[in-house]
Amino acid sequence: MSHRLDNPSESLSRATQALRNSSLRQDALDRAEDAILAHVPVRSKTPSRLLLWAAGFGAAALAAAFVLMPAQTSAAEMMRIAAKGDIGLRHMRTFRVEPNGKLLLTSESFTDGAQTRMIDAYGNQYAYGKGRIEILHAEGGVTVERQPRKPEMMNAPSATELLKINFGQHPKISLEKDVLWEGRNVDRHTIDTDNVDGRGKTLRLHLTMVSDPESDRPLEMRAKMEGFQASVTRWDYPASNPGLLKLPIPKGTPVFDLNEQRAEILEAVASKGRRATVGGQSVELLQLWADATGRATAIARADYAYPYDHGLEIEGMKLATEPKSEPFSGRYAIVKPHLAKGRPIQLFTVYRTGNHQGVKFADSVTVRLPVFRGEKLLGYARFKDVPVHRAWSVPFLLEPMNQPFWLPNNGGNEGQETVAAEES
Amino acid sequence: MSEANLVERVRGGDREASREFVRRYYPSVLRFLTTLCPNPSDAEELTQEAFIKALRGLRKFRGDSGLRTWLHRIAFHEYTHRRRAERSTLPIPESTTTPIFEANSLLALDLERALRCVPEELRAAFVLCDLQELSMQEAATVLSVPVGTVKSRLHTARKRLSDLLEPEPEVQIHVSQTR
Repeated sequence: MSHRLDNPSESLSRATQALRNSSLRQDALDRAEDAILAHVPVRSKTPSRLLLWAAGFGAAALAAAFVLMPAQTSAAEMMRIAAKGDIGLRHMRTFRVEPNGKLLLTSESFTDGAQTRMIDAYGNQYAYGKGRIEILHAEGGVTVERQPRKPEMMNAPSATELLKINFGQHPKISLEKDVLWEGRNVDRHTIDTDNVDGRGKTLRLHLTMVSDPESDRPLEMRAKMEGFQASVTRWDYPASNPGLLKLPIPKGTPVFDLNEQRAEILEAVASKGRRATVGGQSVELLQLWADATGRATAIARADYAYPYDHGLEIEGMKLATEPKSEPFSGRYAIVKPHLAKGRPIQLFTVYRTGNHQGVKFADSVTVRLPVFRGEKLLGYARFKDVPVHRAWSVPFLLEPMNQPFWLPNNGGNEGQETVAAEES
Repeated sequence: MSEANLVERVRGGDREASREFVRRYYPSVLRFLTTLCPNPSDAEELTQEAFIKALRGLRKFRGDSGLRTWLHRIAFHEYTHRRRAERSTLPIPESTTTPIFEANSLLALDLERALRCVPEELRAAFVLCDLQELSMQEAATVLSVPVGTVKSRLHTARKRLSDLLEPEPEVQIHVSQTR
């Protein structure tokens, strides 16, 4: 559709048409597809861990320095491990294979027994074992929570176990003995199979793993699934070093205990709050949570829905980044209440987009909550002197899987079987 | 596949639909950011970030504006946010890297060069309306300015680009013959 307000010159018209016809290079589009889709959650019938390890992680640059141990694996060390039945410290690195053949490090971990420390592609560091997960976030701040009991993924100590846990459903894993690899004799396990994703599309997988024949420890795995970039995972076995398993938390870093905070929220949900009535419709404010990126959520007892752009307001602070439209015009999603302890609970949120840091909330603020009956905005309920509870990340605390944490299978460990500290 | 159907399937976690989503809209959004960013790799990076955000936040898309408009808006927001953070005041250099769009005519190359000579706000209005063929209302939504502002900027952009693209007038030399 052209806009002929005036008469653009003929040269401009022809040049515009020519530029419109220029096409994006195919390799640039392919590169973009892989980079984008590596960050996007999709449903699949195959275990998600399989896709995760076949695809590697995303394209973001590493935000923190990695502590890279020199590879000190030796045949003698491997024999010691095998002889003593000792698992020992293992060092695992995962790379994504770039189109030019180079390897891009995307994650690294150290594991000794049940304890692991891991660094992801964004610079976030994780430590788990001893019944809890600690995350040192790249932006600063530490969150801790109980460790859920989940099946072992790619961190088993033996190649046979790894293959069985992650690929055991495949009918054939072929094994070749005495294969020469980097100057030593190894076992090589190969899987060539088809996987069917959540939409019924068949994706071909080719995977090889080489392992030490004496100790059965994995050394390298290469995986390529159709439609994904290839990945390479390497293991080595340095001397034991407990210091490597601790997170390097700088002094003064705030620590947020997610289980404690969620328990506080559940207690508030079961208690009485501050009630207001607007136009005959009531809303009962229970708690207000906020974080340093300016995200804030008021937890309230309310049985009505609201559109995203008509959420929480805090007097004296301009937090919303998107312009408002007519309520329920269809431009923004509708937020519905959920049941908690048998009562309708609504999360009134500020709608913000983009990355922000350094937003300061006072210890107590005046809150305005929208009150709706059906699609009609009746007005705002105003609450003065509301204490601000501080989270590292309000959505991560309240809705780790995009739904309130108290709902089943929604990312918060409340109600899930967890690892007891003494077990690890 | 219609836009509504595509959105539903992407929301449902369909990988192939997500791939189609990227294939269908990425080139257009990338072209927009390529005309704004100093170099193509910045444009690629920002476009990819915009798409990741869009795919993750697709449940918030209600169809009030078209998907293209919505995506351009997210991309423009990424660009302005990055620009504010970096506060670059350098003029746009000639690109020395391999172009990511394959221009098939010299006219297209001439227009690319001419675009670099006009201010960013005029460039954005022209690219959105004349290259990307968004309506003025849609362009106003992307840029978060009134429709009248888009109209004015588009008019000025076309005038300047036309002047830059017009060939130099031929100089007639009369040679009188001596007798």
